[in-house]
Amino acid sequence: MPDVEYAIKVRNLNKSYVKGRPVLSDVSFDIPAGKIVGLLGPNGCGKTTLLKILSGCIHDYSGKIIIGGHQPGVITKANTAFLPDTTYLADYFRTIDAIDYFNDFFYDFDRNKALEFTKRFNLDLKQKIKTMSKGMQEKVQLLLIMSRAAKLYLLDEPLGGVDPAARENILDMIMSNYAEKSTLILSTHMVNDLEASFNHILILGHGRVLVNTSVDNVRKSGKSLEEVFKEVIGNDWEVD
Amino acid sequence: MIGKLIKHDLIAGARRMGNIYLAAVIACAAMLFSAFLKSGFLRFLTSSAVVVIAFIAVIVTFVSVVFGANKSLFGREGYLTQTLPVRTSSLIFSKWLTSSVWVIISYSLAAVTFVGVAIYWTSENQDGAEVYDMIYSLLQSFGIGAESVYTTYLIISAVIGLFNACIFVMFVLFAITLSNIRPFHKLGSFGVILYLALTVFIIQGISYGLESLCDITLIIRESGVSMSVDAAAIDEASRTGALLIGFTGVYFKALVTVFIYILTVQLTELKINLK
Repeated sequence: MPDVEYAIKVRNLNKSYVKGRPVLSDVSFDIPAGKIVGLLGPNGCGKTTLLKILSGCIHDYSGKIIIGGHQPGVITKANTAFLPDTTYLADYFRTIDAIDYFNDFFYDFDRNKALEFTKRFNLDLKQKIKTMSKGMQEKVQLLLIMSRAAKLYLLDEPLGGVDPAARENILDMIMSNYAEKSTLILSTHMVNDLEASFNHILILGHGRVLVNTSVDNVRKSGKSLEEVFKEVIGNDWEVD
Repeated sequence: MIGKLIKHDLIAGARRMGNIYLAAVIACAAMLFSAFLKSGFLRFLTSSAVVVIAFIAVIVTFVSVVFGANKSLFGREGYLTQTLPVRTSSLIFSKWLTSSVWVIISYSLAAVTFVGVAIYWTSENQDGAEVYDMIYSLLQSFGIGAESVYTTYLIISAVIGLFNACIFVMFVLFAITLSNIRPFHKLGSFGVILYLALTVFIIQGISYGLESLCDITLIIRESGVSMSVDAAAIDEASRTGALLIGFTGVYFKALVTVFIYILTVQLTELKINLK
């Protein structure tokens, strides 16, 4: 099958930060286009590293990656919206500066949509990012990403720093605003909260792919995602 | 896209260094205002402040270039810059160009400030004019020719100085990139200083070596500027009141800078891991 029919194709991906301690070890998987993928796994299993590689933030790896028919580069970056698990906006940015910055660089950015989000989140356009709380900063970053009509969304723990009350709103915002037919990969520990949203899961453990299947297949087995997660992660810990 | 990168990098630089330039403007205004006052102490105070601020501006600009480039390319802001749909070569070029612009502005402002303060002080007493006459007479006593030769010499030297500042900025970007790559990252901030010092030392050493092999010299005469590699012609020109500027190093450094730029782009594309 030609590469272009896969949203993401990864072959023999290896990455280590310290020699002899691989974070990702000979990882290979395919993710079909148009799926909402739950990237699951315990801390340190390589979820963030995988997302950073796909987004083009990590260059020092071995293996082959094809995103929409292209190797990671300018074309894939133009079509990928990445939300890292850290605050990455410059301190001097105000909300409006960040919006204008995205508007300048991303052809798929919808400035009006971003401005609507700021009203919904009660964000002051003139407030500097550095004076915002962590939660507000995360909202700004999320609205920037979700105002894009990207072909691939990579969200690293978008609900990590959000209180339970706001979690539902954030999740609703993500699910109702990501561009139709695009692929969304969301890493999380909150399997229960997101079970209904995913239609594909990728579980990593100790740098390897433990599960890569559709949620329909999981349901056919009569188990919940959490049960599958505990089962494979539990086995993985026992093996290692 | 390169235009947008340059625009945003210039804005970022202005935000980082705006305060120090604002302080310089205020100090200059105070100095000019104090000229109308009779107090010698106030004049001394304000003009000293201008000199100190101009000096600080140069240092702040340089530090800002180093930290700004490191933060925006390889720090947490890298998650934005490295995911922009632009070529790495454009990212590095934009950083180099805008950093060079700020360095040139700060150097130029410092130079203008120092000269301005000197004129400001000497214009108030006759000793100043005598000092200028004395320097000019001293130069002529060494057999060095007309005023136009000095002027051309100073202009070319200033351009070469700014050119060297731009080259230095590229070396800084290279050192920063190297200090973010395994295994060179282990030395942290000290690594930037070490790799920069080593780069400058090696390039300067080779440059001196090349000058002894092939001495390309710019000859500045009253009749105009020419370039020569003929040792006899250079000696003759020197004896007849021309001023000389070595140009081998300039050529070599220009070529090395292109190489270092390509190397920096390659290292960023292949070896960088954002933390």
